[in-house]
This record gives sequence, structure tokens and C-alpha cells, in this order.
Amino acid sequence: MSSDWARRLTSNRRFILVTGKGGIGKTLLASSLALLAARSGLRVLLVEQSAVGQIGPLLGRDGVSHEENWEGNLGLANFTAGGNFKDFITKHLMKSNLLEVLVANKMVHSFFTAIPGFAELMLLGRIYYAVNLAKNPPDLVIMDSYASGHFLSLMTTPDAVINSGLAGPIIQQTQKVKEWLADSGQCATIYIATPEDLVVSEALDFLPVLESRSPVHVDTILMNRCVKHSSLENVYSENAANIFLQERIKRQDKALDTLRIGLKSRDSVKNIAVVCLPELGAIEEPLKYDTVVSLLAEGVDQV
Amino acid sequence: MNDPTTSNQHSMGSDSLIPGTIVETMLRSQRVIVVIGAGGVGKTTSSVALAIHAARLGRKVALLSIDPAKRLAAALGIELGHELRPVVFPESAKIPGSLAAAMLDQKAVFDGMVKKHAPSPHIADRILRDPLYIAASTNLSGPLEYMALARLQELAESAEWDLVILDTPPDSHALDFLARPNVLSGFVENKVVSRLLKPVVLAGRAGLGRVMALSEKLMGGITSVTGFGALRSFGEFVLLMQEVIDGFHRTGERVLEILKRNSTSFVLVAAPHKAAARAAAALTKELVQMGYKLDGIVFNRCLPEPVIADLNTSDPDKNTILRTRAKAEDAVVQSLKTEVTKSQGDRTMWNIRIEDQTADIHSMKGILDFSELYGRH
Repeated sequence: MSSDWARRLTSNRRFILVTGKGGIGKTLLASSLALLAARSGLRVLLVEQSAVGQIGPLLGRDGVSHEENWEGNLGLANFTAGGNFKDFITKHLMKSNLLEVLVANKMVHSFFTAIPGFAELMLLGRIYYAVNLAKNPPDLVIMDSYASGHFLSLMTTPDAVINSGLAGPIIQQTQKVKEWLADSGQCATIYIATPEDLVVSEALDFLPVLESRSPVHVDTILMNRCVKHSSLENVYSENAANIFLQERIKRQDKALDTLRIGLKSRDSVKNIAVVCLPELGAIEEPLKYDTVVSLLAEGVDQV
Repeated sequence: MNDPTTSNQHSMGSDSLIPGTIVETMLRSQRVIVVIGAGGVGKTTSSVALAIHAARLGRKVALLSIDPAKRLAAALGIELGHELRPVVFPESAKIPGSLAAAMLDQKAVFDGMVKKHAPSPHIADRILRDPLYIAASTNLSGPLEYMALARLQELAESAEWDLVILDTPPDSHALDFLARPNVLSGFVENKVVSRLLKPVVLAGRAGLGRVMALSEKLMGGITSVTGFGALRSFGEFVLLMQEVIDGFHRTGERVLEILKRNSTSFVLVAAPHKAAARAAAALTKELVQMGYKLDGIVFNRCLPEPVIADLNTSDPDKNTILRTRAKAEDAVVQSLKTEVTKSQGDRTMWNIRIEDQTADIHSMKGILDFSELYGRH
């Protein structure tokens, strides 16, 4: 590993969840961590749950689907709702004789898609299977997960199901999955943000809520796209490009201060580490290992 | 491709003789604007800016937002809620039209619809206290989007508003609700309620054996996954919801008709980086497959023109970060335009570039200034 924070994050953990506001680099950073961990010798499965497959094009691999696609010790998969349900029955409950009856029937399908939280539950079950029940499980599973709001719904699903008055195998499985997600020795959540006023204030609103209403714990906030002060060339010149960068650095420093002060003042989140990652301008596809190193290795622990 | 942003004379609707930019032409002539886009591209902010600019042009605008940024609501001086609340602009802004906004909250909206469609207050009350309903109304994403469409229909048919702008949900399934306004309505079509669930609920009286006899293999399969209790309580829930679902369903069909009118425009908001463009291209393709067309693309957070001009004339070894960004932005904008054109044929479509803001736009002054950018293209 090329930096302490990333080593601390991925060693001994079995499952890393990546969330944050939409459109600020969740997929990029989940993929970068996966690539880095895989290079260090771990068998890593990177999972997305997205209608538009993003990790395939980003990592230069075709045909990322519900089935795990392994090359070397990095596996990619896109866990879909239909596939999760099928896997739950055949792998998790080991009742493949039910498959035809349940999965192929249109009415049953429509029944399951309408049960509140069912798709979320199947997704969590599928991940639990990949880490804990599969025959030759990977060392580490990294999930490029939903944006904050949707992530919170996903993570409050176990409690909603457990408290819904239902019974049967679903409840027992849900209880197990929930306890596992809460074990911060095995599972860690990473929150991606950028050094902007609005993004930081959303993070400060969101993190305590996630901490109190869901089983997962946020370990680290990755501040993506921080412009280094040293990149201000010709600081004294009056040209538009430099003024633009100076403005951006000013806002960035203010946002980082707000974040640090905000975290310290809230008990449930004051131990979350903050790591700044550099702005690279744009990311070339497919993502190169060198880019990953320059992106992650420069992270600085703020604590 | 002939870039329509260079021309302000593009015609749309009957008001095209009034001078103005292409975006203003749309804001003046249309009755409904649906704003779509992947998460994190500034969709809500763009919707608000479009709405304010329409009010500046004298229109009476209603704005529905599904994914409210609290800060934005605070900047507009309104509370999040189901009811439209008037936005009060400062005198100095000189805005002749008006804007009212509803920032929809999932549970409040869902409760309102249950009360409206339930056959009696007693049944409404039972639904509202049902544990599954409580889970559904706070956790499900589908119904909220659907409710927004129901509100859209109500507002679009009311003479009180000239223009209704709908800010759609951010995730990649954003268009599901256009194709199939309600997951639950699949129940009605597939007769799931009558064929699958009624026997289960009745079995509360007649016993489990009777249900199994009705459709043994299927029911046995489902109950072995969910437990019989789950099936029964869900069955009861859906039966209770039947009237409500039927009500939703009727609304849905009228909304689809409104969305297909010529006086409805779809606008895509995109960010100029690869992942966002990929999501935007997929969204457009889906939209076209459903029989809708895009009228324009807003590229948000682009490098400002003066910065690009400066980069073009200064030392190529300096400012490498911005240079990399400028090059990538250009490539993405071009490729998304090509992709969208490929999806929907030679339909004329405008596109505008909105500059990355260095000032905070989440204040009344900030958002007013920002909205003026939509009058420059």
C-alpha cells in the first residue's frame, strides 16, 4: 500500500461501503481503492448496483454483469435486483427447486418488487453471501454504493423489516446481516465529499443521522478534488485562470474548516478521519494504476 | 452538427416572435418542463434557476422538487412541504411574474394521497397505522415520484399557473416512474391482488391448508422465503390499499397524456465529466424509448469562458490541472451531444453551458444572480 490511511482502511476489513453525495467521485474512489488493494496482493471484489454500469468502462473491462468477472485478483460485478433475488433463493437459502416457480413467474415477480424494502434486503443478503458464505470468498469486498439519501434507506431497511412484525427465514437472515454490518472490525463505510460549502453542510447533516439510524459506522471521509496550494502558479498574476483557482482554494479552505469544526462538535462523528485527495483535473479511462497512486498516495490524514 | 446555441432565432411554440434566447423561448411558450439528470449534476439548482427566470419573464410558475436541498429551500425562504408556498423576491429583483414551490416530502405526500383516495376515513386511518405502510411510506422511492406526477397533473390542469416545472429524482432509475407510474399499479394489471393475495388474507379465517390447495406450489414457494405471516400482512396491506392504488392508476394515465403534449419540454442537466455523461446518455436513450424527446441540454459546472481563453493564450506548461479539465470537458460535451443526437434522430435540440460558480449560489441573492445566466443563452 502506498499510504497509511489506505492501508489502515483495507487491512483486516472484509467489506468496505462507499457512499456520499451524488456525482462527486464515489465510483472513482471505490475503484481506486479496489485497484490499490488488489495490487497489494488481496483478492478484491468490487461491486456496483447501478442501472448504468460505470466500473466496467472506468476499469477498461467489458461485460460487467451480475456474475462476478475476475481478472487476476480483481473481480467486478454489478448486483442487480433480479439477480439478487435469484441468488438469495439458490445460494443463500439453497432452494434451487423453487427457482422456476418463484423467479420465472410474472405475478410473483410483481409481488416481490412491490414489497417495501425487499430489493434492498436482497442486495444486503447478496453481499453477506459474497463475504461470508461463498465457497472461495474474496479477502475484501468493496461496494460502490448509493448516494447518501438512498444509502440511508438501504441501511435502515434491516430495522424496518425486523420491526415490521414479519416472521420466517427473512427475519433471521436480516438480523444476522444487521449485526455483521454493525461490526466495525469487519465492515467500514467511507463517505466521499468535496471541499464545497454545500457538500460539507450536507455531510454534517447526514453523518449523525446515518450513525444513529443505521447499523453501519463511517470510518473515513475522503475529500475529493482538493486543489493543492502549490498548484497556484503565477499567484500574483491577474489572469482569469489563476483568479479562478485562487477563489476555489479560498472556498476549499473555508469548507475544510467548517467540516473539522462540525465533526468535533458532534459526539457521534468526532472520531471520523478526514483525508484530502488531490484534484487531478480529469481522469482518463481506463483508470491507470499510476493515476490511482497519485490520487490516493497524496491523501493526508487531518486528524 | 449545427450548434443551435449560436442562434437565438430558433423557433419553438407560438411566442417565438418575441425576441429572447432559446431558453427564454421555451420558458415563455411551454406549460410543463420536466428536468431530468443523474445525481449530483446540479439538477435542483438548475430547476430553481429556470423557474426564477421564467418568473422574470412574467410567468406564473409552480415548481415541484422531489429531491430538495434544504439549503436551497432555506435560500428561497420556504419550508419543505407538500403545499406550494409562494417565494417572496426582494423588490430590487424586479420580477413581474411569480413563483411558488413545493419541496415534496415523501411521507407527507404519501399520507395526503392515502387520505384522498381511501374509501373512508376509517380505512385511511387503518392504512396510516399499518407497519408495512409506515415502512413503505418512508422508505420506498417509487411512490414519491408518482405523487409528484399526480401533483404535476393537478397543477398543469389549473388555470392558476402558466408553467409547471418538475425537478425529477436523482438516481439512475429516475425514469421508471414515467414508464410505469407506480410499481403498485403492476398489481392491478397482473391481478396479483385477486389471484395471489386474497386467498392468503382469507386464510386467516379458513386456515393455511386451504390456501395451499389453491395454488400449492406457488404459495409454498413464496411462504418458504417470506414466512406465511409476511405474506398475510402484506396481502392485507395491499387489499387495504386497493382503492388507493386504483386512484393512483387513474391519475397516472392522465399524467402520461400531459407529458406527451407539445407544450411539455424535457430538459437534461449534465455535468461535463465522463461518468456523468455516461449516465446522461443512458437516461436520454431510456427517455426516447418511452416515446419522449429532449428539447435541450444544460451543461453545468463548465469552466468559465475567460478561463478557457486565458489557458489558450498562456504558457502550456502552467495550470496543468485546469488544462486537463478543459480538454476533458470539451471532449465530454461533444460526445454527449453526439450520443443524444444518435438517440433521437435529427430533432433540433439546444444546449447551453453554465459556468462553474465560485460564489455561493445557495442564498437569495446568489440564486437570483445565477438564474440570470439562463437568460444569456
